[in-house]
Amino acid sequence: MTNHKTGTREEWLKARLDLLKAEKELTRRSDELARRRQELPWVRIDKEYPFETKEGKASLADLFRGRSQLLVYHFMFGPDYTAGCPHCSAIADGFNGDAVHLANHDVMLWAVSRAPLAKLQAYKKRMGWSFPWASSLGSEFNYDFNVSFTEEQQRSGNVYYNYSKIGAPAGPHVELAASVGTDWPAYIRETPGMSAFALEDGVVYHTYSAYARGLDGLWGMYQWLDRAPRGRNETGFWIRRHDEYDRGASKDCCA
Amino acid sequence: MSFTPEQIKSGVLPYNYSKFKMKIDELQGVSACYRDRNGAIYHTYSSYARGIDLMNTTYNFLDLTAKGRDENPDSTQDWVRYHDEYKRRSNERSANDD
Repeated sequence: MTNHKTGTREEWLKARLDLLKAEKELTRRSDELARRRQELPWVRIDKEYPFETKEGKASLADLFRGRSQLLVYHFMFGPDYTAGCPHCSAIADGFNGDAVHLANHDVMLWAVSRAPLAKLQAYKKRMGWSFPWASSLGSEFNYDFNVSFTEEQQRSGNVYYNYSKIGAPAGPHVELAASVGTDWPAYIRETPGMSAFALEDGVVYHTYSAYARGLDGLWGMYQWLDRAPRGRNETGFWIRRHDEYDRGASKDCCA
Repeated sequence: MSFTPEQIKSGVLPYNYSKFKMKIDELQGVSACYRDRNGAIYHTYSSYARGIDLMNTTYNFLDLTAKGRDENPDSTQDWVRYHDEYKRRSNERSANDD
């Protein structure tokens, strides 16, 4: 027997209908938030941001590839990393399938990281992904959008993330840093985020950025967990890259 | 979820904890179950319609853009194709690197 409260179908349905009301309120509020995001003023980008892509050097405007909107996932993969952040990798496992749909709805979705392009491409091949991925190494892009920090910023505690000064982030998470082949300070010089841009009459505008739990909705796996009987059920570092889970335990799941 | 021939014939289908006039054989939904140590299975949760919007992460990305979902309100998702059926427009480059 389970120790959790159980009930008849009628009891469950009554409780479920109460929850449904709350879920519908959340859906309406989420629609309203999306509408308010569209009302944000746009900030014209005049600064040059050079990127390296599979097709060679590219500007921010080039990343739109004929669309009028661009979404950038700031993927944690610093120059010293030997592999991408496992959490960003789990997010990317999900959005790898979304990119083609977005690209056919006037939105280009790119991952951008500071690691050199060759590292990004090798890792992308290992993970079997197809979304476009650009290197911003040598550009101020990551710093301007508050997803990378210098050693000097770390020393002085002058680190701004998710629109507030965070000083030193919680940690160290040695296991997480080891998973990308760095120590904690090098690991945390990169942080996750997303930014949205619009292109109109040849001018690029920044429209939106989100960080930290502002990215929860992009992580499809969590949306599923939130509906599972035990929810996210997290007690530590459990996420691995999809090719690093114990084979014995996962052989019957996802052939 | 699926509907019986009788339900389909009646034209009124049970869906999302309500009833709707519609002609359709199948509709989408999500159900969660729990299996305890003795093998007993419990149904814990089901959701339908916009209750599964959040699992459609393409929508979660679109909700962050300047144009939003940008859909025909009378025919949402009419732009969605199977991923191998999108036609490459001549003035655009591929969505993917590969």
